[in-house]
Amino acid sequence: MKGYDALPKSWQPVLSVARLTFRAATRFRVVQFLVLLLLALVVSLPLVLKHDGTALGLARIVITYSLGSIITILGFSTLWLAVGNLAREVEDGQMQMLAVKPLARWKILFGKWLGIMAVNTLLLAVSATAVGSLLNYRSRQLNADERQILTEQILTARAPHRAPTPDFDGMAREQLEASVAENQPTEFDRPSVLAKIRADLLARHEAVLPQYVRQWKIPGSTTDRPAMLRLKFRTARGVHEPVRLPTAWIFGEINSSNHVRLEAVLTTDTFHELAVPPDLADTDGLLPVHFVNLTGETVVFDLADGPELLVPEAGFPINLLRAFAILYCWLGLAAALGLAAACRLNFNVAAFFAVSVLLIGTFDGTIADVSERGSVWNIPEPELVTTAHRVTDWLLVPMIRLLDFLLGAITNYSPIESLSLGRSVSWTQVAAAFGQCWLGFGGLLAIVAITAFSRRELANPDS
Amino acid sequence: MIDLTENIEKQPASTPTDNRENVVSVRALSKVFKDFWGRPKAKAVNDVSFEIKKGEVFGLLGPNGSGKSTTIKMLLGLLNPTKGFIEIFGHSPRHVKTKERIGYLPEESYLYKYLDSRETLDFFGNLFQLHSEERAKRAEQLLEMVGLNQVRSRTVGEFSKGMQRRIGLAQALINDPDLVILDEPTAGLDPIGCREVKDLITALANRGKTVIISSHLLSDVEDVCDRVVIYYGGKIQAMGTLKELLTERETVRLTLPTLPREKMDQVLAMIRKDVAEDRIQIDNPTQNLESYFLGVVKRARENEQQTSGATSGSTVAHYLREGGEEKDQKAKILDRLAADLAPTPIAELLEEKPATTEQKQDANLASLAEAEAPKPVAPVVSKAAERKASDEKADDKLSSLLGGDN
Repeated sequence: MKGYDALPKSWQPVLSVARLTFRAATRFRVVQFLVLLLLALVVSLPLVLKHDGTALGLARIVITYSLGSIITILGFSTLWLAVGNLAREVEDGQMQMLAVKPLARWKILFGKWLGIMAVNTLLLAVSATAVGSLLNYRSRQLNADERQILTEQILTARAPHRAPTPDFDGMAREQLEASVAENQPTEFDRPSVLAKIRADLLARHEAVLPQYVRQWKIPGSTTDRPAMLRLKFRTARGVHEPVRLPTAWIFGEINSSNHVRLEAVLTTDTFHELAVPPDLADTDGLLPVHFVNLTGETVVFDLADGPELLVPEAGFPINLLRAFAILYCWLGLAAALGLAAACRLNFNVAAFFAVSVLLIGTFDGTIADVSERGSVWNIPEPELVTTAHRVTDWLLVPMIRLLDFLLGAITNYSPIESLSLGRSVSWTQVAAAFGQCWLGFGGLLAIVAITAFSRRELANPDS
Repeated sequence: MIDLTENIEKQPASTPTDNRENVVSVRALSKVFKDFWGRPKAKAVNDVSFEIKKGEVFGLLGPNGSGKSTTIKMLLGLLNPTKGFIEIFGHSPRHVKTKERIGYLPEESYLYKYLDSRETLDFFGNLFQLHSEERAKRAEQLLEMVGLNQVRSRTVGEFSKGMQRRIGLAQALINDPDLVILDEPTAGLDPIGCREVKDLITALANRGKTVIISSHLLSDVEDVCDRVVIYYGGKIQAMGTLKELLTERETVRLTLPTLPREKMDQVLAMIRKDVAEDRIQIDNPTQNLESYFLGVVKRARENEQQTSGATSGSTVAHYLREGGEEKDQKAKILDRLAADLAPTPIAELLEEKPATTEQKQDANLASLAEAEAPKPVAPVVSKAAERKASDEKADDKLSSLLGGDN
């Protein structure tokens, strides 16, 4: 292949190994099989799972489920390719032929990683094209209103902006200190009191009493086109029964003439998007948003669901590209994990290890729950907790918390939900994902892999 | 088995050309294989030392499991020595740059089965950072050399063992290596392939390349090696040049053209005076099977019979023939022949003079053809003459392979 001649000579062996790895995947029909599988999945999933005829329903199936399935399949296939390619070559002896050539062992690993990522590039490109095309095709089956929602709210890239969250911890401490100075208590449970004060402050922040007005000042307002205010609220009743409530909203400074009033009946416990006209920012460039509680009961805006302003900043194709860039970043990490495992372990053990890690990753929700609860046991009554429970927790919880931290660092960049909500997957997010997954975890795996592989004897008494 | 350990100590590791560059130095090398828990499992190589000079064809001989392949894998950096020291071209076996000068043919076919022969050579050429034109040129010549140019589009997985051996040999030479390490190079090859590999090894050595051969096929080693070590139980049991190891100094074989009956009787009568009857051995020479087989195939080829597999390679790749030492090839072969033909001239042997006891002990005559039957005595070919004929054949073949003017 003459293409190598144009590159620096030291790259020639690395790219040659990469090309060989890609070629192995195609000659063994792995790529062809995966292309067919992915296409079948993208096309068939929306046929099997009927959506509710709304733009959001369509987006959930075509984007959320399809992307979720694609990344699961590609995650497994990447691990399999990485482990199989390296471990098999070591076991079958081909690695001896590479190791006796003038090519440092880290370059062999890097070449293999590049080859696997070339396979993933092709598969992700096919998947992205299939998802984009299918979304375009299925959108024609929606009615005009839903199609408009799809175009304006989902097939776009909107940057999310939120009002800054108050420092509840700092406020709680200040309040406690003031109270202690005033009342001079001799003895009290400081952490418990602090937690209660913080909870009280949070409740006051989230709750809007009947006939009261709540104001947020959100950055990122637009001057040329409308933005959307995405929000969810609930009543302060213990049971979350969705009810329809009359609401009133004022966007812009109330005291100035530059504001818009909007009244709408909205359902609780459901996300809504309200159109916010442009040019309503105050002198600081912030958009004042007021909620007027016209109802007879307290309305709660949970901090996590708190209103966020979605400002269009790019088109859907670029958002899809950025989302796939993050998926690509995850696959790069999976390839590094597979190669690192195969550097020291034989095929069966390495495959078991790598697949186990991936499976554990799918339980991220449970892991997060255990980590937050501080116990693997979900026992509501403290008196039922035995020594056995405590010992298990002592052994397992630290490991699960570490796992939660690692998984969180990777899955925090998940672009799937953002994409299905038309929310921007920003370049910053992409850069951070690459930095953390490739330079951070990937770098760590590379060090482990290169050290293990460089020390490994590539022949045995029988070969 | 003859223990020649004493000989190792007495004889210098290599003969007159000791001032040549050391290509491989191995000192006190040991390898112990351990189990999962780090407990010693087998001592594959035990305190082995040898040196290999530039231009030598060095043979590692030994039964299966004697440690020769383990030694080779340590030389290549595939296994780490437990103890001892290895230097290849003055560097550690793991030194990446040094590997540019090494070609390796493993015992098994460790090639990528999904690549065809052309892709295989292109891939390995890339690992040596060869330019595309150079890769293509060398691949072409190597495929021609190993006789696979007609099956280049078939993947290696479809090849027979012999064909895999041939493409393996080609890849080992893609970088025009200074040191060629061949592990059982003729395993799986037909007699023609074996002969061609041996001719190739001779051609490489004549170009000043160093060749290490590991084999348990004694005839392969005997045909091409300058020096051998014999392994058993991980230890070197014998080491030296073939001449040093194989010469039976107490006996001599004499080969004569057919003599008239009365002359032969005279010769025998003279010998019988000094040598007991039971120590005189007379027989008719036979052609060896390899020569006979090659003759049959040569005739068949001349009759243009078709074959579906590998064809006989005819020409050593041109880039392997280039170089300053090429001009000395014929001279080297003649030197070898001269060395082999060193024994006393026949005329001198036939001179009638009283033999002393010492002369008896150093007798130059070992056997003579005896014409007991009335028919003329068949020609008896001595080992030296056989070697000479064989070398002349090799010389002729090399002349055609390397170009008649060289």
